[in-house]
Amino acid sequence: MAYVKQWAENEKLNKTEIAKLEKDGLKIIDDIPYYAENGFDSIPKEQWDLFKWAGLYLQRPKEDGYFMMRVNVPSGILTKPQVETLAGIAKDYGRGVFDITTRQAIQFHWLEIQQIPDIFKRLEAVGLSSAGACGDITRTIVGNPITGLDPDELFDTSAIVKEVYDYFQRNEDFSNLPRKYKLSISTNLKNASNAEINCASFTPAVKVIDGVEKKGFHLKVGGGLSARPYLAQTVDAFIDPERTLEVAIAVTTIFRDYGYREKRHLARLKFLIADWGVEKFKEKLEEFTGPLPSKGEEPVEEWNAGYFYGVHDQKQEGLKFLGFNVPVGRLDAEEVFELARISGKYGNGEIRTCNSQNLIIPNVPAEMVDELLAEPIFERVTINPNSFMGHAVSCTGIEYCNLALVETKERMRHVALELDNRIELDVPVRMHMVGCPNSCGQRQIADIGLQGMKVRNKEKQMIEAYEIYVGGTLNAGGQFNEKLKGKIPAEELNDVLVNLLQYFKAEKNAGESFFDFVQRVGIDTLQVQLDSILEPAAS
Amino acid sequence: MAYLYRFDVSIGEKNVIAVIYADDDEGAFQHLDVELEKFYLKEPDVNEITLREKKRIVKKSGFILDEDEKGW
Repeated sequence: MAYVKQWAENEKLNKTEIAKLEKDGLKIIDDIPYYAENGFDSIPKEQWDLFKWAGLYLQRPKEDGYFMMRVNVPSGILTKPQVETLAGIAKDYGRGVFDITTRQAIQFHWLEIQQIPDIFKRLEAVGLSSAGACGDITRTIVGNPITGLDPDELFDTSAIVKEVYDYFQRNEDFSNLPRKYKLSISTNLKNASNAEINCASFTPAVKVIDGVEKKGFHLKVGGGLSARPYLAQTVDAFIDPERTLEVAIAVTTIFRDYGYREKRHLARLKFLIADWGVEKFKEKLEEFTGPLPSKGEEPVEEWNAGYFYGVHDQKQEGLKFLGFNVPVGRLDAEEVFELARISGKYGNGEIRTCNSQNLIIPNVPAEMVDELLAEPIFERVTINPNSFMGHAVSCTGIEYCNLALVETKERMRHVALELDNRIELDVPVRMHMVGCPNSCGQRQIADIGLQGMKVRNKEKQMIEAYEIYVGGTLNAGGQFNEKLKGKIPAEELNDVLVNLLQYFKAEKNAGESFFDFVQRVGIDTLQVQLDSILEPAAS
Repeated sequence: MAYLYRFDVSIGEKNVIAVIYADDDEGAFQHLDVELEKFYLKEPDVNEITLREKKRIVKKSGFILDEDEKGW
């Protein structure tokens, strides 16, 4: 269905917008066979950005011609053939690197243009796609990774996620949005989909209508992190599950037609919502949907940040789902093949990815759990990770990212290993490490956020250093963490964190979370503590 | 690919924000030294230099330098 690009006559459009009017991002997919045939040098530089719509980014340094590819995994659900296909791509073309992202997608590195057509063919054969995984388009849809299995979800959202994802996939009516656009759909009561940091989120809700309690969704809009973070706000509306696609189309149409296109740095939906407010947004929404009932109740429990470690009952009698830790989200291709084999042997072959960069093997009969857990791979990909390793997140870092200033993935892994060796707590502490201010590793919502920088001292020695942020959460609507003053040299980071966490351990109440502790003692107290930790090092 | 780099420079008792154009991180630090030597009549007593952020140089790029609102 064609639509009128109402913004086309705007003389103040930014250059990316003008380029998008000349050539829709999805069209690059048609050009890729030619470029594959003729090599990387045949790709005009001005076309590089459009590769995002095909789910491809150039790795650093861009001129070397290696691509990162992101593959959509709506709601994190993968079948055995899909897992095997992804493992095969990582093995054959991606130097074995297989990353799970903070939106449940899969990323490969080191791909070359001549390999892309075969990769596309392999993905298509098993119903996967990288189209729209990057670029100004509806990205993969984050969902409850245990939907359909979850005894605590309000209702199964797998069919709804599929319906909405399929509608937007390669849909040229919605492939020219003002900026990236992230949806989540989940009725997990523990907010496993991190609703508040998506552009638009469908979250669990109940409402009594005509004397009958209905289960449905609330709609949160305008969230997003990056350098200017916003938390999504709840629209005063109750959405019948059967109308999810209709409402998702309406929200996306509003973003497409009313979102800002003059200034690219102000183009995310969050800026429109910040200007309009959710009341005006609801008025516009109802122009598309007709009147919507006002919102109901939110039957939410404590936020689980997408973590599902351990063996858990499914809603299906006698079946278990098992949540495993993938250290900083990275697997080797051979490990992925092995996980597929194990899932096929003990479960139904499915693997689910989590936005905590971890994975779940579902549908395992209770009597087979012990045998499954005895498989050697689960010594590393463990079901009961040490606390810090089990709650460590990192961005890609300097290894592949053009804008990162420091190493993050390996450093975060080493920090977590060391902390687990040196300190034991009665609550998990979620740590997120990022290599620049753009916060792809979701630094702002961490209990402890670590932001990297490069420092040269008086002796002209160059070191990597980190600043510490404390007290982020998505509980009760969410709160971003706050910075403590003081740069921590990378080599001192472990000791400083151990000291800070020992103070937490000594002063905390039994069972008190890190977030609650920060709220109780206050940032100033923690700053004094950090200053005293840093003093010996400085003197 | 060139970048625009944002630095914090600690000189004696004060902090200065510097913006440098360079091809890579090492080159940015080296050129910052040159600019510091050019700018100050007397060679500055630099305690520490911190690279905070870099941005790709496209046709337009820049940083806002605000003591109170540094954007990190």
